[in-house]
Amino acid sequence: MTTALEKVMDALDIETYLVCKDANEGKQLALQLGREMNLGDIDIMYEEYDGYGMRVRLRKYVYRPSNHYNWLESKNKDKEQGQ
Amino acid sequence: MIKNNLLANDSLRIIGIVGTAKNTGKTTTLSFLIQDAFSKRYSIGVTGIGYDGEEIDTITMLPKPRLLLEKNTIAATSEDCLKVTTADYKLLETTNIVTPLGKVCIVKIIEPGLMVIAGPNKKFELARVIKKLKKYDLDIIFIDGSLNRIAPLARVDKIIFTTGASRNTDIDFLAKEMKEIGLIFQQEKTKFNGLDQNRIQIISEQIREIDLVSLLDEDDANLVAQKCDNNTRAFFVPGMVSLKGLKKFLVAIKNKSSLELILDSPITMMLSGEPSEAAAFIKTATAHNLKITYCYKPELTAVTINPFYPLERNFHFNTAYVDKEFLFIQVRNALAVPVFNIKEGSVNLLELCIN
Amino acid sequence: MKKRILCVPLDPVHDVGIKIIRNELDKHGHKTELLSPDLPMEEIVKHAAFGKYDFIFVSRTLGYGVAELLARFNDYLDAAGVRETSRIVIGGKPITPELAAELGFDKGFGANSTMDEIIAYVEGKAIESTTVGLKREKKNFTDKYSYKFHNKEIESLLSDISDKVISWAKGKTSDGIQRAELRKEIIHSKNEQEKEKIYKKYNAISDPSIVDSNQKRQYIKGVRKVTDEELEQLNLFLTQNHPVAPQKIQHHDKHPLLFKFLGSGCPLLDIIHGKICERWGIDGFLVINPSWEARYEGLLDGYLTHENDGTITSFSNINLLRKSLDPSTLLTVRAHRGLNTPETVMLAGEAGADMVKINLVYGSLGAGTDPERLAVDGIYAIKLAGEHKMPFDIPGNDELSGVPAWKTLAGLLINVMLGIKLSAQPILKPLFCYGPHIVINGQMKNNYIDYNVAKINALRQIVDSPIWPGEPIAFMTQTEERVQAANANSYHAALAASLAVDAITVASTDEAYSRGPICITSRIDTIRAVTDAFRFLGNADFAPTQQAELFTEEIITKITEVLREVNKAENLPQAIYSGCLGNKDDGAYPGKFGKGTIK
Repeated sequence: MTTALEKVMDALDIETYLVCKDANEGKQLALQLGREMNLGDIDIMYEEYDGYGMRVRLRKYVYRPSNHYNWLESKNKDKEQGQ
Repeated sequence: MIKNNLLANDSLRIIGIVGTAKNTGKTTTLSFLIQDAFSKRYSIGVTGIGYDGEEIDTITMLPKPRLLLEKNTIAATSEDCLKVTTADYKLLETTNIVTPLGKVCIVKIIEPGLMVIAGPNKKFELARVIKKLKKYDLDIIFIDGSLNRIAPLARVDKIIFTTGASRNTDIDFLAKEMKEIGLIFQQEKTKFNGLDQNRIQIISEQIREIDLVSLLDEDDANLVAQKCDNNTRAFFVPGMVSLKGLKKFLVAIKNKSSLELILDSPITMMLSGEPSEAAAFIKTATAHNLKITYCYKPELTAVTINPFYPLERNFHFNTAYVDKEFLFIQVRNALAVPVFNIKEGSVNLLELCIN
Repeated sequence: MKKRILCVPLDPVHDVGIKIIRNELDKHGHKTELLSPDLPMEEIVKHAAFGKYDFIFVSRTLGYGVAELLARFNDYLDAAGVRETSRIVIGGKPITPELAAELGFDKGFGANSTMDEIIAYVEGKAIESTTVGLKREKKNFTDKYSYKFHNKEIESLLSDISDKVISWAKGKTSDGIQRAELRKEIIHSKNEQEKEKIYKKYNAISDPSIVDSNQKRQYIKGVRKVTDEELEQLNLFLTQNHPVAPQKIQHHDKHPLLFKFLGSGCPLLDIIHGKICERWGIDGFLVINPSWEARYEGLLDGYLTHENDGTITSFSNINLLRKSLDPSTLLTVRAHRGLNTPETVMLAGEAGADMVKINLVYGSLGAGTDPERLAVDGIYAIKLAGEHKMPFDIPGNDELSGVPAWKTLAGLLINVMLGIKLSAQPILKPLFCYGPHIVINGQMKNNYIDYNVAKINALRQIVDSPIWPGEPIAFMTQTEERVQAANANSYHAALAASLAVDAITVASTDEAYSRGPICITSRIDTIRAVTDAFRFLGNADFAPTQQAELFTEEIITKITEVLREVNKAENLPQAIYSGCLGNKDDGAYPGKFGKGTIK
């Protein structure tokens, strides 16, 4: 069965606000969030701590250029089944 | 097609299924009836008012069952729905009735599969489709209602209502509401025949006509009441009535003795307002010697109940249930017609429909 | 046949949509009536029944309980007999055909419906599916320019500089130029044996790594062949998917065309990103190659994908891109870096690209190629671009290494004059950026407008040429923060629109993020942002302060001074070596690739 994550064209960004006591904790939480969401290692694209928490933009690449893209392959399979 | 001739008097039954709200088990009830009818070798036709049986409920985004149609079933549905069916079918006829999903087509199922049924969505078009379906020598035609849309069902023979927690999680409310709907359907069929369906008529020694179809407000009520004299026995309103109009009318005819107000069907009364208010009006009218009758009278055959409801939490809908036993007992006690929990065996629901 | 239409805003708040539709229906000569919002149902039904309308248009936003209300509304009309004479139509953003059917309407118009569809429906005309597929013409923005110089001193300096370098390069050649000729023969050769012979000659003047890749499939690290299966999958994807309701970015005729980079490394991903961007309105793309291509003599062959930044400039790759993108989409191929400039222009022209990117000065100063080699190769390449009727765009990205704007602009102008003399069509690409020289010298201390305006005005006071700020606009003003990046792009784009330039290149909202490839949502982000900026600005203009004029004068004066210096040198490569177009202090160094390879 195809997962929705496999249907992501390239990358998944998460933009949110993490309540934390300092930038360090914020970064730890951001990485932890990726693991909790079963995304494995994610990259912190942008973070800004403001005294209350941290605004973050996190990115998980599902596919990178030159990978085999499941959404391109499953498209084929769907069609074969339909025929 | 070979007709099985299983029905005693060899006449076609047209059965409408009406949900009081979304997710009250309308599609489940219809599926049950179709399967039962198929296993008993009746030849069946299926159509629906509008669009239903979709995989995902377009409003709550919860999955919904789609209809499994068996071999030899005749279905009337829109072109776009045929593009996504898993059934093999033969196109019998493309009608010129157009819905937002394309023209209504009549097909015969060759190999069973799932189909979305979106047929004609108004009264006169449904009548045309039923007329076309009759050509195929059917025992039963099932008509799937759509999201508390009942107006097109005014001409069916029998109606099954589906109600449940999705309509309201207050079981007493559901029981009371079904009781009120029962009262609306209990009113008699009129004995007057051959009335003109295009205008309001006042039946006295002569029949007087008013160039109106519906009775909607105080002006309409006064206009009709003014034409009433001592010989007046009945009024016929072929179109729509509103409770506001009805109440004004009752005041305007001033307690004249033994008058009859003929409406198109119980559906008209259902549409006049909430069932509670409509039922209350019937009681008041009866007390004031105004009898409500109908030109066409589909029978309220049974009610099915569903304890499920979509519970909204944090902007997501989750499945939830009310006490199914209590729901069943309360609705059954409120009604004179049979009540079923469709998920727990409803063995004689089909028999009720064809007898 | 004129229709009678009743417009019913069932929504007390959102009745703008139905008013717009009514207005259009009126313009088409239909007779419409608009009910006031908030009427009780009975009154609407009474009105509807009395009026004997052909259509009843209902507008309502969806919300809790609204579906029931709308279904009930249809029931009322049905019971009142209205549905036998009137068709009931619902309009609203979330309306789909399925929802319209479910609620019992005759027809539904949603967010993607066009006014043409609504009118066609009312008038009973066959509705063409106008919303699927791009339907646009390829734009030409160079033909309208005369390339006449308004500044005579600059014209004469440029003419001298160009004549000197052209005559210096005369009779000189390089392996790069020879490979371009061989490439042309390879592309046109139909005989395998003959092709093999040409390849032998080609390999003899190519870098061994390139030869190994092409002959023995021992690819440079990170490169692999695109499989036949992948190509088939791409083909299937492109046959099965089409742009729905394509968008237009420009709101006014004077708004510039929008270009984006394609250079993920993977031609498949480039194409699919490209197709999606086309739907969102992009006008063209610049194909960006891997930086290592500049260092090797020779180009790779075949359908190739690459794990890192930059899509490999093979004939097959460029050809595939060209064929897969819409014919109306403009395609320019980066050619000016490195040792393959002539060959890149040759294969771009043969593959049907619309433009090529060449800058003799920047290619030597900011991109590592030896100035003499690039002068010889570049002159050949510009001539070739002209022969292929491909305009060439001249990026001014040396400004990013710290070169002052006037030196960069002087460099651009030298390329313009070379283009004119070699019968090609040059396009000026000054930067819209917060470059290092500007940061240090404070020209943008008060705003980002005056100095960018001054660059454009200076160029316009010098020559009548197409101008395409880039590359991308908003360089060094963007961060990794998504909203900021989208805004930075849209503000710069609006300024470009205000100046009525011909085109702009925009980045994505992940441009400033350097640890991964550009993703599709980030591409769409900036296209959406710019579309909105253009809608906002329309035909209005920005008002620069008086400082812009002072900057303009300063830039023109300093360009003149730079060109006088350049003209003192023996030829252009010598001028570049001497640093008058950018020196060590500016952060610019003459490149070394291909040094001593002129024949």
